[in-house]
Amino acid sequence: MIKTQSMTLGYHNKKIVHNVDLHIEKGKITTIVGPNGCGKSTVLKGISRLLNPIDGEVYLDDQRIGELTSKRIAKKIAILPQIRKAPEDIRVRDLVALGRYPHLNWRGKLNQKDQEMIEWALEKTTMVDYADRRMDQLSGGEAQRAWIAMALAQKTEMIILDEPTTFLDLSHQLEVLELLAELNQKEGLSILMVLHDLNQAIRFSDQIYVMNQGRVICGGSPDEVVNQSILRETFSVNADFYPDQRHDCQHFIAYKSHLE
Amino acid sequence: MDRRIKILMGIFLVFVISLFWGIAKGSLELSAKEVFTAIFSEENRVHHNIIYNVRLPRNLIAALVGMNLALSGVTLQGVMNNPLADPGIIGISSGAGFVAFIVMILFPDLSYLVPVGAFVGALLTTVLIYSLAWKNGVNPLRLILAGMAVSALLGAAINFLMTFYPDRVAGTMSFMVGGLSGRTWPDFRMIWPYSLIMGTGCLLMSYRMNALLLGDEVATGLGISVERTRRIFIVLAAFLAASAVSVAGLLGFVGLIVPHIARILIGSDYRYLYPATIGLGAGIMVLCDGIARLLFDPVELPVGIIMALLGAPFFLYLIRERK
Repeated sequence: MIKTQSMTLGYHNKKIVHNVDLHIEKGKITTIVGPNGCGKSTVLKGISRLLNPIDGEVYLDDQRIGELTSKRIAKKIAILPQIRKAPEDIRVRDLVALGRYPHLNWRGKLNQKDQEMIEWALEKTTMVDYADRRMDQLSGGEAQRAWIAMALAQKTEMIILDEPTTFLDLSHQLEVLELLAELNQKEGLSILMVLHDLNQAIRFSDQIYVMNQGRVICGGSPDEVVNQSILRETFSVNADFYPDQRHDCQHFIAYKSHLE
Repeated sequence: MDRRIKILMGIFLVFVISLFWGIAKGSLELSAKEVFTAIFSEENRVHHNIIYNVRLPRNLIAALVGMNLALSGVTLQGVMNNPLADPGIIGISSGAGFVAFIVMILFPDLSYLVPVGAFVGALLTTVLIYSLAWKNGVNPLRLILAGMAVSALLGAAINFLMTFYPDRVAGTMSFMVGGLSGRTWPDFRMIWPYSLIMGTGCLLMSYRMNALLLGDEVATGLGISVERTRRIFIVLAAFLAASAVSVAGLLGFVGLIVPHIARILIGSDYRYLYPATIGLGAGIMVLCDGIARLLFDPVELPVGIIMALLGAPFFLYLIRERK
């Protein structure tokens, strides 16, 4: 669905990300991981047109993304960046309604279909009971679900999320990730995200890209990509792997000391 | 009915009442019926003159000046995402003040050019500040800082003039404080097209402002071209404030405080906040101008003084009552 071809990104001629080639497939969950400052959030910005590539191309369904209008992209890709703010008195329903923005005509009136999409997004994120609450009355996990509901209401084929679990406690982290997995399975939503927790990335992703120092080191299915040598070289940790029978994958426990 | 619709109706009711009050009150006291007859017929020459040629245009101008400044302020607060933003931030006051000062002090014979000069000075300063802040786009913080620097420069130039022509400073007082004394139909004609066009523009763009408030990245994700939208809003704000300042002088306070009062009353959804700001800006200005005329009748105070004197304590009361 999205392809990047030697995409190079940076600010003020200082390159942060070099020659990135990604292939993000339709209907899959793709996760980018990497140590702090490796450029993974920058890659998301490049893909979601928040940052223009210095060099290289980004293709959305085989069309150069720079040739599409912002509104057309907004009908295909929803993005949930880390930097965002909501007026403290905005109601959840009004926030979610703004997800319909790219579908509105110049008068900005919500029609029947828009209302249905808003309700659907609230249901999917189990925010129906919170729809009339103000954003400043929500907990971190609820607020995150409200933002995801807004992105869902946009009714796109893909959602891009930058670290959707940051600042959430463990239970809320899993709630968010399981919600995304469910949306992926039931609604066929393609998901591209950045995660910090590698074990969560292993469990929830179809495809993982590992980045380090502004470059993509490798990409593939979780078992192909996450192994002891990658963890040592990229994340500077040693690790022992254990099978997770419940989720049918391998998890690891990392340690820093060099004693074997 | 939505609570916010009720509040809006209340605001506009208060505005209409204050408009009638402002037109009826003065050294010549008339009943409501006499006021109406005076507006539409010339039977009583004196009445017609006072009501139709003096009080009616002046109160309408007050309403439009208040509306424009408040709309400009609420727009800039949204676009800069900064509650302290007001028309001064994009150089409206310093630019208008600078040109008006040059005309008033260096070319006192051309003082009829003050309104036009202030208008042009205000807009040019906005353009200057915007270009200085430009660097792959305009970031609000850089715009605010560039605005402060340019305003400081123009302020220095004004002070320079004041030092060399101390005898002519007194004549500039009414412009610097802001007032509506002697304003009539020609002034009204200078301001209403801007109120109408830019005001409509704001109302049409209100939902886009709501999306912009979620942050540049979210707004981009919703398909908005943030840079262009910001520029449109700044143009709207600049014309609104420049037209107001050219008619009424450097009225501070309205553009900063009225949006906050509106926000406290009706919340931050611009679909409601914009109309509320229009009604409140117009109403408060008409009321304050009425008080400025009547308080020490026949001596008139500049409305800017009343505005700050009444508005500031009321605003402090509002922020202490809430939260």
